[in-house]
Amino acid sequence: MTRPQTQNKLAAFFIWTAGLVILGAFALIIGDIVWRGFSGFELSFLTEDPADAGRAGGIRSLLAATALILLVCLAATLPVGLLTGIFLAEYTAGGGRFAPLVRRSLDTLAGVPSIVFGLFGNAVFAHLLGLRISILTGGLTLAIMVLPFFIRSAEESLRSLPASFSQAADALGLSRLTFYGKIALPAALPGLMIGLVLGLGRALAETAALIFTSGYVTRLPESLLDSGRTLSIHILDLALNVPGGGENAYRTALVLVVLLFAINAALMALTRFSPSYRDYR
Amino acid sequence: MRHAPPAILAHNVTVAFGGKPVVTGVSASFLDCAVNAIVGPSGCGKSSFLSALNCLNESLPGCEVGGTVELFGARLDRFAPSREELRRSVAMIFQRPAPFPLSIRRNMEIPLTEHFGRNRREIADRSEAALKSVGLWAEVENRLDLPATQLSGGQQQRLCLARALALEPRILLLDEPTSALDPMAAGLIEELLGELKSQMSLVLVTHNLAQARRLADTVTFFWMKDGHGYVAESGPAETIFNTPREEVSRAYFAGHIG
Repeated sequence: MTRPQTQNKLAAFFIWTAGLVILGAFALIIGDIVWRGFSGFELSFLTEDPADAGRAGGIRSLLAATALILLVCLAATLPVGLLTGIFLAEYTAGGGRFAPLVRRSLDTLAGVPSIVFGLFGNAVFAHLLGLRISILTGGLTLAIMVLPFFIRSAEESLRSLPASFSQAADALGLSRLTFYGKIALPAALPGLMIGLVLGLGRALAETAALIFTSGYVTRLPESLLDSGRTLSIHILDLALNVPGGGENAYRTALVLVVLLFAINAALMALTRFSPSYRDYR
Repeated sequence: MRHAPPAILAHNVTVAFGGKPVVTGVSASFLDCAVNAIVGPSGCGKSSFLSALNCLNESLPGCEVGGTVELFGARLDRFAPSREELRRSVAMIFQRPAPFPLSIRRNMEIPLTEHFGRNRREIADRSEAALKSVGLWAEVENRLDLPATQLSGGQQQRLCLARALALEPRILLLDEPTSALDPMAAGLIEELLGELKSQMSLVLVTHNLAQARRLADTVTFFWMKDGHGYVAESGPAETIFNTPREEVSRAYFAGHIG
């Protein structure tokens, strides 16, 4: 065997090994959650509220709190994220100083530990703005945490579109609003959805930032100003603070993983059914 | 042959990028109801000058445009109150077809809605008329909702032409519109340009001297000096091609340089 052939075989071996290790780790984690979470799982787990500090009952109120927090996060992230992404994609080429500053700030924010976001949310939203420890405070805090990822992925998706789209739109006398609303954003949908999936995944799994902002109580929230416990905080609590809570922690983890897959699949399906996505490919 | 007064009158136009001039001191006039060809070697600023006629390059980073341009006797800001209106009236077609990644129907509808409002009947009628005018209607009438990107290169270019013509421009700028197409598709576009010149002013940038000879009524010849382009000679096509005044023009048209 020649030297290049040996090198190729070695490289292929390491690449395949790396891929298999990742796949194996993923399969182990998911397998463990499904195996232990599925034993004794009943549908009533989804329709009952927790009892006996979470050892008994289900997760109905936690599902509601999680969904509400995600909705608040989404409602704040989408408009701010898209507009900032458009700003960065549109104005950074001009050599201005403001856009690079925004980008650097976002990169810095992306590296801030989530507990710091929790403290910020608690100080600003809960106390300064008077929103208390609530679903609203939790959702807004998560939005600030998710925004750096979403904005950068929106910017990258928009910048990766061929310049000919923008040039043709300009040549036809289309306003930038029309260009972004009817052409660029639909064409950038796949990238935007990936950013959203990653962001929502992070939000769904978040615990540290929410302990200080959305609270810990397990009752069903009646308004956005009520506090509520998310699934991930419930898992943390059952695993660390509640003796005998392990079984329900695994069941809750199973629901959380299924939810993550469902959100991922739904957003990707939305992308695939978008006419512009099909056309662009 | 009697021509209408100039559709475009450029005076001392200069285009620079990052302070470096690409074309300098271009003064030229382009006739209405005629094909006005701009010819010259690569890199002499023909396309940059063309984009200056509808201010398309003003949003490019570091681009500065000097001099004045008059359209039908009016300065740009008087001819069209806004850039959107200017570009509706002075349409532009590019070297590579640039359909939006949407259906054929949406490609037509979006610019029409922007400029003529949301009357669905009117939009449909204008779309059909424009697609017919470029000979594309019969090929796409049963698949208007299919992606425009699935059309062939020649069909895409005719779609882009229809999209621009639907807006009823008075001037059509064409930046090497056939150079990315096969000879058959290029022939169709040339035929269309021949038909369109009775309705508007066409300004055609081309590298293809044979094409310029076939189509052009006037020719503006760009050449390069000190790293930037300038107009070496301009006039009626017959004169420029057969009895050019300048030495450089004679050498270029004879194929000795460029």
